[in-house]
Amino acid sequence: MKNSISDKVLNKIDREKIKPTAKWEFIARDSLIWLFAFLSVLIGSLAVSVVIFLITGSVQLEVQASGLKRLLCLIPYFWLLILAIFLVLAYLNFQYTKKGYKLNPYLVIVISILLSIILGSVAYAAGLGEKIEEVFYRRIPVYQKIMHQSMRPLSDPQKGFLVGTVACTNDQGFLLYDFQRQKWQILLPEQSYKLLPKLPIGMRLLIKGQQLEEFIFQAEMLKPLLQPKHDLDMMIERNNILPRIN
Amino acid sequence: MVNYQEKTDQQLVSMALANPHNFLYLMNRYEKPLIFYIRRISQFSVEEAEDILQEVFIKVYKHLNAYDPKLKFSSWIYRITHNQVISKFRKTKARPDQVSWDMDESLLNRLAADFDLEYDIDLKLFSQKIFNILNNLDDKYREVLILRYFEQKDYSEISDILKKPSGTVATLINRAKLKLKQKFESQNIKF
Repeated sequence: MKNSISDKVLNKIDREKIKPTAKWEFIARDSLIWLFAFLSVLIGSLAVSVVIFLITGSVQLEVQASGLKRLLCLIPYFWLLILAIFLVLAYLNFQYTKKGYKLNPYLVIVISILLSIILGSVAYAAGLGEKIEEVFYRRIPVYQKIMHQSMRPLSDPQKGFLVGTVACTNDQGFLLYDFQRQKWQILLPEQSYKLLPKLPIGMRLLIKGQQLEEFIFQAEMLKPLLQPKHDLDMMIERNNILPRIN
Repeated sequence: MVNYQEKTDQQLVSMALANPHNFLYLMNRYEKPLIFYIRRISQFSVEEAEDILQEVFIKVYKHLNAYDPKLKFSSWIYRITHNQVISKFRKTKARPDQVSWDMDESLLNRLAADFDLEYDIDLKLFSQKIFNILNNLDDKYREVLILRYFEQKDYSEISDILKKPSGTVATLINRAKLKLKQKFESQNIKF
């Protein structure tokens, strides 16, 4: 075989002044891949922290919903989807590293999941899960809709359970938007009026009490939704303002 | 004139980085095996295979600084070649009509030994049967069999070339051998 291929290649290299790509570009590329893999695991971990927050907050809800209905409300689909997406991205980035392909893909996935759970638990303990969820709820309308949709079955005013967000306070108590955007007047006992400054606009609440009329609800118990140790909860406990549910 | 045959691949890479014309030595070393490899996995004609090989060498030259000496250079260049062929398939969006490649007796002997085959005295007929069987296998099986039996790569090298874990390579080879045996039986090729 004549060396015409070699000649053609060398001629092309000379003619087009082709040079080997600089080493630093490959180092930069490899570093970026590792960075993306790491960021994917990190974001996955943050999703895990929110999942833990939502599940631990939801299981403590004392509502009428039970069985399958309750289970469907409790599962944080949105965050599990985020976690799945970033686990896949972490896996794909890892596969593109120099030696990533040598590892069994199932092992890579298992390690990514374990790492996400460990880091996610640390993030949850540091309060990040709650903060992230709150930011998403307040700033991302689509997420808010998803949350309202999933929590809606927990609300059953005729049976004495109402969930929604605080719209504003007034003389008699406060106004609440339920998750179907209906406005409710929530009546509080007079001795509970000192609670009112503690009710920030937009706060998600679970209210137990009695429906008096259409869109008027007498509160017997207030509990921040998903936040078992919120200041409001502790204030109710400390001042014995409203009876606690056992 | 440099006696490049005594130089290791790594030394030739360093020489090529210092002077582009030294790249000739790497090309001389790998031109023939890679042309055979391209034709075996793709069934492209000689001319098409040569075009692909030119693209491979240009790519290899551009990526010389990416070569990691912890990896065998042959595995690295075979990987680039494999990827270039796949890329060509995607561009043409069609596989070429089956063009046979020469299967010499030593290759057939290797295959026959591993499968305990009795093959016909008519070597040409036998090699045509094997060729047809190989071409009718799924790509993932054909490529590992070609690397194992015709390119004589070990499992670790195949893992590096195809960027798959060694365990996956072993599984693919076992399954490919099973498929091949089934095809041999259906073609009345005796064991």
